[in-house]
Amino acid sequence: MKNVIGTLLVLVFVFTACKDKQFQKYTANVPVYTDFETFRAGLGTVKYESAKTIAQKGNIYFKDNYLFILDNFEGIHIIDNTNPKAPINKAYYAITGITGIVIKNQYLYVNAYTDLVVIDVSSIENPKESGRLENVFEYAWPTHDPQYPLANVDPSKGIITGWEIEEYVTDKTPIGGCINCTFLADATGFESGFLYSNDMSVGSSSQGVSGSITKFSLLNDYLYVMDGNNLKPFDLSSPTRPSNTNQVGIWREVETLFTYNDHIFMGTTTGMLIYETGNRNEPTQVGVIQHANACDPVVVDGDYAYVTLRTGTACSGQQNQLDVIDVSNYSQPELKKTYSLKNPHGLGIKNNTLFVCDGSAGLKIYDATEPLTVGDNKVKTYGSIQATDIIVLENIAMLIGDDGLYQYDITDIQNIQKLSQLKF
Amino acid sequence: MKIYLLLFTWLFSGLVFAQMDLVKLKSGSEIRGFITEKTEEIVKIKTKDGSIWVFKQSEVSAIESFVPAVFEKGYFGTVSLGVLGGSDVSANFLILNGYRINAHWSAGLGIGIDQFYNNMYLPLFAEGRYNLLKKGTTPYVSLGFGYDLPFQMSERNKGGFFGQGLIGFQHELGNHFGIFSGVGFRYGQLQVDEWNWWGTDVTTKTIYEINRFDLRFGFIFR
Repeated sequence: MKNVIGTLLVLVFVFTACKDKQFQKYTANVPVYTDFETFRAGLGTVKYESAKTIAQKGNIYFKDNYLFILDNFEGIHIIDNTNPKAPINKAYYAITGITGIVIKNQYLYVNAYTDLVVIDVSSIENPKESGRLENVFEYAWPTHDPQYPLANVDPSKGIITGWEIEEYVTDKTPIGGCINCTFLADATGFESGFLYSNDMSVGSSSQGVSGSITKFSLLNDYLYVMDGNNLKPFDLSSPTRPSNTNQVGIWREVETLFTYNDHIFMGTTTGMLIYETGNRNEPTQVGVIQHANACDPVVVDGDYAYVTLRTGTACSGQQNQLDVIDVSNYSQPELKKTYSLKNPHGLGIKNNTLFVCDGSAGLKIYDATEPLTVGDNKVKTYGSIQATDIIVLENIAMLIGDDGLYQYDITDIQNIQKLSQLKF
Repeated sequence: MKIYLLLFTWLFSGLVFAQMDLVKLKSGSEIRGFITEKTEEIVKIKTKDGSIWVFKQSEVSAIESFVPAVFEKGYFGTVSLGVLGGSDVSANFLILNGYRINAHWSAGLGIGIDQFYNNMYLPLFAEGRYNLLKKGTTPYVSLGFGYDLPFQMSERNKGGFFGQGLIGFQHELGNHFGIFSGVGFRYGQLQVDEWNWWGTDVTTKTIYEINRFDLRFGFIFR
């Protein structure tokens, strides 16, 4: 009997040990991890380096005669623009994971993947990390090759600082999209935007001028950051010790944040949202205006918002136009006018003059004294100036194209003069 | 107990067949059977038909274990049926054309039918076998490897390589006919292309890793 039981036990063991397995094999973006501690001590902190060739254009920020051009996920190019006729590519700040930037007084606020980092830039040549808020942003990762799916991600292994395309084997289904990485992926996926000046001039100021495609925006003592589907307010009243105690869910795909008159205007792929900030720590939606699916940079001046809708991007859509929206009542924004354009990208407004980068149709300048007829009051078209973004200062326009940064004297908009060009 | 006996008999069927003897006479004759008595003077041998032959030792030139032709050098063939079991169970059928290099070593190429996860495959394989004894009844060890070709060719079903090993017994039942049984392990990987990624060339390959025990019974022909 013992033999029988023994034999049966052996057979049971053999039977149960022989298990078929099923798994998937595919060429994928396989994450390269750096553990959190190593990241915060190395890649995720600022390092001053000599100037580098600008390989890709990211968001741009201007303050105190310095132009900061983001090299997405890698760092910041520092351009000395004291003389707009001869800008100097001065230095480079290496900060892995950066996709957003603002400057308030001498402090530079950037993201380094999951962390908000405060950098004292009172001396451009000697930046110092003076504060860090860890794990305030959603776990995110750098852009990957869209030709391939993502391998499974394990956040417990640390920060994803890169990808390798290789054969990947897993018993799980590949991830079909960039889950939890809207914040970072969009920053590079969105090809254009606008840069706008809030009463800025070339000189000293408390805060700088941000590019429109940024999801970082300053308002009084608060920094607002669009992180995935959440708007996160950061209290900067203690500049080196920012705090974040709240977040507001935004259930749309937000592309741009724009602050104006204590309100936050959000350009989303399906419309424009308006939030009031009476409670700085808890912005509340007061108005919305829908539009068809499209990319929609937005600027606001007085009672009117100017929105360009563009096709041919990841935002899809079928419209190329300039919308003029009455926002005199923030709770009831109203579309007043629509003007057809060719392929509008960034736009900016200054002193009742509206600048629109209309793709291959060139830079178009409109008199916006009468907003409801702005499209009929085109002052000038410069077909040779093809850019995607623009910063409008008092007398200078900075335009960004695929191949470089161009600056123009706009004192006489009938005859703007090129001041300089910085080739990328 | 019946199950135990059945399994034992099935797996080690070769053991139930005793080894036959061969008596060689000085006259040149050879008698095959089972020796029933052997003294200094005589040798008694019982043949298959029940006859008992008695020879004087002076007539006998040698007494050996009988090795039938089916285990001699030369070409042979086998057919076998197997049960591949484990977390899933399937049957297979194999035909092998082999060459016996000597009483211990043989090798061959085979073809058959496999079935895994509702797909039929045509296994093409090579196998080597080692007989532990130079007798008509002997334990053996065999190793093989091959490729499972999808029975119904399609772009998605790619088939895959496999390897297998068996230990068991083989036994001659006649000069040109024998049986064998064995137990072993079969490992294989079958690939099915499942899904195109965003319309690009990147596909997700589903790999079925086959881990099965192999219960096998077959016939040997010469």
